[in-house]
Amino acid sequence: MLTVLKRIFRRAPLLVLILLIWLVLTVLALIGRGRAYREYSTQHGRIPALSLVMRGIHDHIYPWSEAPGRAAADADGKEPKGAAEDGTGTADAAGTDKQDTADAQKTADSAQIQDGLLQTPSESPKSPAQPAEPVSLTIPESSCSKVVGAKDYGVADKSYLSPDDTVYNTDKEGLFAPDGTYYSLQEVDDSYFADALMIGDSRTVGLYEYGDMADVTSFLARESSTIYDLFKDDEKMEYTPRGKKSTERTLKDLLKKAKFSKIYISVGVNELGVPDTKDYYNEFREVIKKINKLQPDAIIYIQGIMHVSKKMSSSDPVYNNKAIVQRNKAISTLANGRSIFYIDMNADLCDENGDLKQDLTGDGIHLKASACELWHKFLRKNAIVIPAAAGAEPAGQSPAGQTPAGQTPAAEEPAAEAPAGQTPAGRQTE
Amino acid sequence: MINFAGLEFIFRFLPIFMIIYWFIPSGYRDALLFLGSIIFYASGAHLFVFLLLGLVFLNYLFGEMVWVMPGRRRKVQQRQMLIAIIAVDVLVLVVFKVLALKIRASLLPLGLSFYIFKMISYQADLYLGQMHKRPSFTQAAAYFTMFPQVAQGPIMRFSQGWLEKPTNIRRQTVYAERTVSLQKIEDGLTFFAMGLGMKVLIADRLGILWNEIVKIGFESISTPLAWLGAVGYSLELYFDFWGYSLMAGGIGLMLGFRFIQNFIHPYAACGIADFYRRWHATLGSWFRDYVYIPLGGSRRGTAAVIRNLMLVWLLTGFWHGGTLNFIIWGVVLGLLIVWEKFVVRGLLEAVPVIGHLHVVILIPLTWVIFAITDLKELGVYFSRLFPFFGTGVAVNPGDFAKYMGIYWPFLAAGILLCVPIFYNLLIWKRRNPIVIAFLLLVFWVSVYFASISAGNPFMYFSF
Repeated sequence: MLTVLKRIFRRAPLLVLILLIWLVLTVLALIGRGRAYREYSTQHGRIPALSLVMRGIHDHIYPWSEAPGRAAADADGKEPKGAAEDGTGTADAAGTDKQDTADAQKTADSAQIQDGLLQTPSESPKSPAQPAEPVSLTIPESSCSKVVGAKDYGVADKSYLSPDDTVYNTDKEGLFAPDGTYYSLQEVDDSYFADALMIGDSRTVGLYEYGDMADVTSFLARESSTIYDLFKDDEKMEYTPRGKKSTERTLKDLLKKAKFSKIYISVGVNELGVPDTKDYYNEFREVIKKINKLQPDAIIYIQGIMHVSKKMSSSDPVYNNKAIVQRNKAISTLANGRSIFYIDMNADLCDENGDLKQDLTGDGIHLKASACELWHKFLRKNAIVIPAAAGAEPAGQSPAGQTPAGQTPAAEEPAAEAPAGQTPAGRQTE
Repeated sequence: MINFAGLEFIFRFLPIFMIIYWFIPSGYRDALLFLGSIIFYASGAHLFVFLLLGLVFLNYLFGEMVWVMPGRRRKVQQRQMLIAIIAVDVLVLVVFKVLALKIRASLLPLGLSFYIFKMISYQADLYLGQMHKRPSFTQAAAYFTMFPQVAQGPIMRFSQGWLEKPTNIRRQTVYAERTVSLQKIEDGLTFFAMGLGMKVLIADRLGILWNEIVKIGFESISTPLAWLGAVGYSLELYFDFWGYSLMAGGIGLMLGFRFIQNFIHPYAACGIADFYRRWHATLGSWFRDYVYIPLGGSRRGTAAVIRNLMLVWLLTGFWHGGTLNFIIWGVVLGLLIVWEKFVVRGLLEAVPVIGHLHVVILIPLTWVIFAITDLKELGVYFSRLFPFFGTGVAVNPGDFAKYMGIYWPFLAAGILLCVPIFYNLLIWKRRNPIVIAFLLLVFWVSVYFASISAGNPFMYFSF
């Protein structure tokens, strides 16, 4: 037997060695399948087992790893996810109003989605037992951009989308609202961005390289980064402080050490291949919570995912505008018009069908270098200025009739304390 | 599964097929090859498998009729049959090419032109009496459909796989039978691993560089980056296609066929014409044997030669794609070859280095024409290559350094492999333990990359 093997090896050493390594890798994959590689379980059977080991090496997970880093990171997010899904947690705080919100969202179309009903911050936590008059507030038009709709070319892979009637529960009021005042988007000059941080993926890298903003603001970006990566401990991104040389930093570390007044988040296109929108939305909410915790005074801008070109959108089951619009609709509900804003530049960049204009993009996904300036312009035109001094005239106010009538910004001051009491209640979900 | 660099092919289809192929009696191997190829083709081309099957039966039938044609007017009728079947084959090709161009690219059946070309060559060889023996159905069917070649060539001739020139042993005609052996499998695997490495480790990496340039937009790249892009794209195309051909040749070898050489160090050529004798050699020789020579070749005076050359290159352009840039590409190459052949021939013979310069400078420029289907964009790219005609928009002067810093290892490996001696040394010393260890590493690193990336199918698939 051994002599036969020896003879075979002598005649076909490459073949024997490849088969041997294949065998070893397959055994390793089978050992790790139930434990270290359970994250990859969706792929079982569809591709050869040994690729689990390869993917594991890439993610620094080995068959003998008991608790893979990624699963551990996910576990953080799972609890609130579950809480959100079974309607407990923050939903309690919303009380009867939650049903209204759900109904409103079911019927809401793309144009109205961020007009979802919002409860006043002072409502339930102060008097959880008392079913007080629910006061519904609509974020005024000029506070957040609208989600730009897009033509449905019917190619979207349903497994990456949430069912049409999925409700993204708006727990923002319990978490983030610092006062009852809404602010309006307005035009600013480049000095506005001096204390801002642009977080993003390859698109943001493009803005850094070609958007004429490198000397204007700070960037923390990396190609193919996703919302799931942002707070991972081993996800170092390229940090380029305004006009300076870049270093490798993690987001958590950076937010602990440096202070920013405005934080822009622009991710989402790489995540389109991860099912589904609900999961993306939940992760986004967690990220905003974490940023809010580390930098409570910063304005957070959720940038709507830029659409792709028609060529891409009408042929790609994953990277298409139907999926993008669904995700934008979801994350736009995280805005509160007070400290978290949704801004969507698609209206400036897309044609009447909601497809990214062909002459602005080379590959259908990214802005061309020469078009990055349009993004920069959009950011200048859509900024929020929150007056520094208390009692100063806010940039925009909630329209009369939506807040208790006759209230002036000054009169709302006490209300600003309400969230302080409420925040712990909101955080109970964590 | 249809992708040779895909894990399903390497670790499922190929080993299972090889095991059955190894143990089955040799008389059934052609039938098994036909069956396996149909499964292979159906996994990638879906319903188009019926088109392939229909064409297989039709072509076999016509071939049979040509072979057995009785009667006095045999030659005339054979000729009519030949014209009829070639007309049908060409018509199918043209119809699908037009459909793909006018309606949707996905309407072009996978590998259509490759198997149509094989069918035409089969019919022509049969008619010209180059078959030494009547082909059986399973032989013809296996030849048309064989999975190593069905998607992307090389365009093997029937006689290269079956009915190799017979030898006479004691006045009996003996045809060499196709055999499988460990030796052949090992050699085949050597070529396969090399091709896989070229495709995954060089071509796919450099493909990202070209994507980056497209992403930036041609008007915003610096002139050095434009040249880097031209070189990078040329190398990507070369290693993508050469790598594929090596894998195809290697699989053929494992199955007991002879190794079909499709690339013979084109970048070491001493001129454009020579380049295309070495680049995709089976396509070049197909055009030579079935288009250029029937048109009269080079025997009918200078004007006819020029006409024939231009016609062949126009057809080659059309074959690669219906858009205008491919036509320009073909015409430019035709003109360059005519220029070399009739105008600067003496100079090229006296100073061979000029021919080599032609290859390394002009060929990458022609690949740029090949790469960019939009004529306006093509103009922009050339204005960046030769920046006398205008300036760029939002150009980042540091872009060359950035991309050179990322891609230099792949560019260096690619340029090294363009020099014949390195590749030849690997092949020559393929039994050396160091080379075996190197190929083993190449194989598994390639599998690693194939596992973590979604897999980028060969660029030539839809052609």
